[in-house]
Amino acid sequence: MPCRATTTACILAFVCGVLLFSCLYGPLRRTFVSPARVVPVDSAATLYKLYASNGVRGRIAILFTRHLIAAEYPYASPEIKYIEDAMHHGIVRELYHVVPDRLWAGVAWNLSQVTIYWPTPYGFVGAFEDGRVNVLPLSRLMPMKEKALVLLDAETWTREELHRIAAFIETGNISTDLLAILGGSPDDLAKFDLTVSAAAR
Amino acid sequence: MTPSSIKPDSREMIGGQLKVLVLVLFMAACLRLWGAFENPNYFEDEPLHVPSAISLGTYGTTTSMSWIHPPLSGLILYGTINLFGNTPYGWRSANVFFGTASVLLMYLIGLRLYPGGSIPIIASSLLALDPFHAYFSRTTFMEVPASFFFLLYLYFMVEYSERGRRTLPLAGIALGLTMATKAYFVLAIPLVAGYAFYRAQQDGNRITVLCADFGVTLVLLPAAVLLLSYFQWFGRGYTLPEFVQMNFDAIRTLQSYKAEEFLNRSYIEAGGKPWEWFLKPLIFGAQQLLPDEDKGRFLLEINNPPFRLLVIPSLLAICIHAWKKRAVRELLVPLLFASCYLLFLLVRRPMFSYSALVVLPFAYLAVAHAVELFARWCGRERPVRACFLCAVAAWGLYVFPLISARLVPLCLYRPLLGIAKIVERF
Repeated sequence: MPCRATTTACILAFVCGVLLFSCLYGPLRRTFVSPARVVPVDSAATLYKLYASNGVRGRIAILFTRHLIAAEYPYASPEIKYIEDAMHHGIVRELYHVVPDRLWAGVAWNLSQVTIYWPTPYGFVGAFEDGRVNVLPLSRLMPMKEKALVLLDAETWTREELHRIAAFIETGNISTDLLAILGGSPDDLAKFDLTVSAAAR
Repeated sequence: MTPSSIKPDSREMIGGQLKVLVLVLFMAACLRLWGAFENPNYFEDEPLHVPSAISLGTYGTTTSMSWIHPPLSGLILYGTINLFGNTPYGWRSANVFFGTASVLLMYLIGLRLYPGGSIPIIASSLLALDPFHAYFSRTTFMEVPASFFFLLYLYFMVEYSERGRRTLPLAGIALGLTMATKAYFVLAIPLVAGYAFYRAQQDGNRITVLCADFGVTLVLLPAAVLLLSYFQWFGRGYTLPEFVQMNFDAIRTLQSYKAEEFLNRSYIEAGGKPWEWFLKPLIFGAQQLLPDEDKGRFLLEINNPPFRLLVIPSLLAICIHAWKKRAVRELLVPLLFASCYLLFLLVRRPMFSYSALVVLPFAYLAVAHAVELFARWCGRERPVRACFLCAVAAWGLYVFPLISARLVPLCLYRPLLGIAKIVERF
């Protein structure tokens, strides 16, 4: 039988190894797109294919849109299941769903009726098997250190709100390697292309 | 630390008991194996557990809200599905193994805590032939492996405290596996550690050395095993702070559950409240009656009323006996029972009756101890033990057809079927 000191040393080495693993393994498994790009998408299904084809994994996603998950909005397009699939398949590990301030009162009331969401200082958060879903208004969007996958549903936002979102990205409060724009004009696409490029520099 | 000595006549008794043990293990295996794989369809919670395990193995995440529990049982299920296929063999073989092996652990623990008597064989027979334990050992509920891993931890700790063997690291690994399965034993775990610490200190070990040993083997090592069980979850890009966050989220989500949110809430209602589990007969489940014939098949959860109703009186008897003898060791089993059962009584969420599985080993150790005390008090030890074991075997074999969908004539089981609640048909 090994002596106590040897056994203790082995256990401590094992524990340190596991701690290192739990700190480093996850970030090492995240994959990013390089160079950063802005891509127009015409549907939610296209967005999922975009993520899958670029091999992104383990990411934070920020969705600037109104409706999110088909299960909560039965009359929404079934394609909105894209984000559920992306989270279940490990492409997205945490989601930030940002809604316009002017629509926040209605969203907040809806979420307050759902027990799996609970209020936080910035909005609401729900915990699911595939990850956390944070729902918040644009005015409470916080700076994020980690590069995020961003979806911008252009038709949800006014001109002024789009400028604010662009400013967030340009100043580096949100950094992204893959910005998908759903709907919107060619000018919007060009503007965000410049914004992302400027932020990347 | 001095190991406990076993007298020569006790060795003979143990030798004789080994033969009975082999028979008990054989019966345990038969009750868990026979016909367990015949049903080609999901039953009980298998439609939730199996897809969740496959999702866990494939994507590192579960389905059906299973994420609120640690992942080890899902990983084990995924492993057996990979070994034996996505078939009843793949779904149920793990629990058949853990359920049968739990009986052996019961015997070994009983042998260490109560050497020289028949308590180990009586307790292991009670568990082996318990229709409730056998029923769940034939499906996918995580309570069966959780109970097994805790018994393994308890066994290694008892080996350490009673015999001075250096089994703390093994206990730490078993403890990690317990924590990685389900959180039933949050109070029982420190209770066992405290008992072992107390015994080790009484044997002359220095407190500082004990603290270091216990800290490394029973805190750090299990925590590392628990973290490692989440390796696939970490592979989804998560880090340690997110792991802590996820566990707080899980506790919050668990506490928010209400009975009406469960799809199978009829099972919650039929299974009774936790305070009823050891106070009244509870029989419920599914049936298939043949038309125009007085026969049927049943898949019933039967809470083993002839022996479960002895549990509370047995625990009281042992507590009085321990108080009279001033023997701390005698209180270990009642305290273990109380530590798990109190959680069920105090927790603020609906409890399914299958949660009782995790306290059954302690309940049956208590009953076995009470039977032994009674036998010695009577002065007729062998007849009392033999009668009790025969009663356990007779009852277990009599109700086995009702837990395993065997075709039975209804007339044989009218008293039981008269109080059974049928919640679904198959």
